[in-house]
Amino acid sequence: MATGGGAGNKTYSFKVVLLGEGCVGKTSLVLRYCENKFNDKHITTLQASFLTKKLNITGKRASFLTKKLNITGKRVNLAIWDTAGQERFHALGPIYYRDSNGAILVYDITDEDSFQKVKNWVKELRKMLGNEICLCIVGNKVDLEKERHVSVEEAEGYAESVGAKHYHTSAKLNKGIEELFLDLCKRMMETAQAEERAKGNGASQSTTSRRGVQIVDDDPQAATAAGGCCSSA
Amino acid sequence: MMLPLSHSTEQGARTALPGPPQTPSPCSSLPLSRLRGCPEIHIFIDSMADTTDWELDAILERSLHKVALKPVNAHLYTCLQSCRDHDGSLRKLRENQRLLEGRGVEELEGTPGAGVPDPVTLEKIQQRWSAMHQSYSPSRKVHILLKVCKTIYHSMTANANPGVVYGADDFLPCLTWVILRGDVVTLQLDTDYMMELLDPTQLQGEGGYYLTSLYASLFYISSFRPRLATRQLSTEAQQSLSQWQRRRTLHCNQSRRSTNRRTLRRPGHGEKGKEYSSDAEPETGTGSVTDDPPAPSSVRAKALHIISEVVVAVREEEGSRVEGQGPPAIQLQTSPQKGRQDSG
Repeated sequence: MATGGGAGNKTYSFKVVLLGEGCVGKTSLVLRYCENKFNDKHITTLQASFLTKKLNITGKRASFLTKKLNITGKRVNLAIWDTAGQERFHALGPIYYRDSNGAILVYDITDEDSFQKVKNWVKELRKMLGNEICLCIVGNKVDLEKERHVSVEEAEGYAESVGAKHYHTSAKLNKGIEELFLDLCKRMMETAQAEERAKGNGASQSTTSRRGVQIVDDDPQAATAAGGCCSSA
Repeated sequence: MMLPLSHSTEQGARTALPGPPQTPSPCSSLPLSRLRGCPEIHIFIDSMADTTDWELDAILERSLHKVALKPVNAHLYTCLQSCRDHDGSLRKLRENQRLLEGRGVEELEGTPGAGVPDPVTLEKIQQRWSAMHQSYSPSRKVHILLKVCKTIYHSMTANANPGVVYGADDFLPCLTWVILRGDVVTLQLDTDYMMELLDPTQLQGEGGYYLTSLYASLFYISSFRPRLATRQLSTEAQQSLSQWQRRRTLHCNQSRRSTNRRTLRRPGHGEKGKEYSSDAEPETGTGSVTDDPPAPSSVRAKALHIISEVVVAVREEEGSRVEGQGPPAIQLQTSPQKGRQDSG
């Protein structure tokens, strides 16, 4: 959801959802990003600066974190939604990733199975949200390089084939995390800007489309088949 | 719903919002367009020149909730309950509560080591749930929910090893554990109430996240089937969740992805109907069933309609006869389209 005030003083609000199996380090990743201090020198280079943290009632809990950024003069509010990675909770994905501008799909480079789970998520997200969601596939735990079970070529090749970007990170060593989020923010901004250009005046357009035909698929057979295909692959 | 009253392009004197970002979304601008043309409101705003836009929005929101939602609160709950009774989800919730309430957090997919609230804290939580139910304002309800979530986090970390960080993997099972010790039916209705009446911009934030978690936990309980392979649960659950997702997004949010969500509505297959009846799906069968939108959306539309009606009443009758025009004027069959046109 990209929103803004007057021209030139634009504020973007993005929702990013974190997906991946339990134990791949989703939570540590986002906590590293939101709770760690930025290196000032780094900031200047990247034209990004950390502003303030919005105070949440629940405090700095790792499930939901927010971050305010300033990227090339544009303000960005990031809301990061963590999801439960357990298999039983897989079905709850859609209510978490609805209206997301970006998704971070995390796997553990030492765990081949967690990479397969990422592939399932990619299929599901593309099916449900189309191509406008910016996808990041993240191989976490590169500090355990010696135990790697997912090859770099395979992971990067796969990411490219589905229009996602691939990153290697280590929450433990704080490697690659800032780049990941900054890159994602820039891509989400580009997507939002492209949308604005395409749309012209957003408000009137959205009214029109809300009043447009809403056709809903109620066929359980079709949905089962599609869901099965998505989740069993 | 936060009213983008202070939209800077409309009122040059008012500066950009200092508080959380405001989105003049189609939904929230519903009563506003009428309110703007209302002289009484103008006088009111002018007399509060020192108030920040953020506070002003909050005041107007509270007033609007009081004038529009308070009188119909009980009626809305009746509608929500009948809709949930109809699809069998409340029965399923109660049944599965009995099945799951004896389980520990680990048996609810939780991680070992995360603490759960002690009896005293649990009692405090029950009181909060009760206060949440009593409140007619969706924003107030969410505020109470956040306090409950904070309490749960405290309990999780109270006896944990230092440095352990708990994310959604751990929080959701704990929340589920807590919910299982409460009035699941009332919690479900409260959740529906909030999800249908909160402004979409609020659904994006912290309140939205924990409301989603509450919904997710309740869904986990109501759709729990011990003997089924997890993938089967996943497929069915996705299906019914996508209904809500499409509904809420299409009605109230940005249009950018709406084209992706347009699929063809057609009658379902009868033989699968029984299987799905426990989920939040409308019953499948003949084509006529599919003509009814899922009930909560009509409840929301109704509420929006009510709000706009009230605003009209305020304007036309100089604010003196609003009470008399309350609930009786509400038509049960108010269509979502009607509500949305009012919003435009």
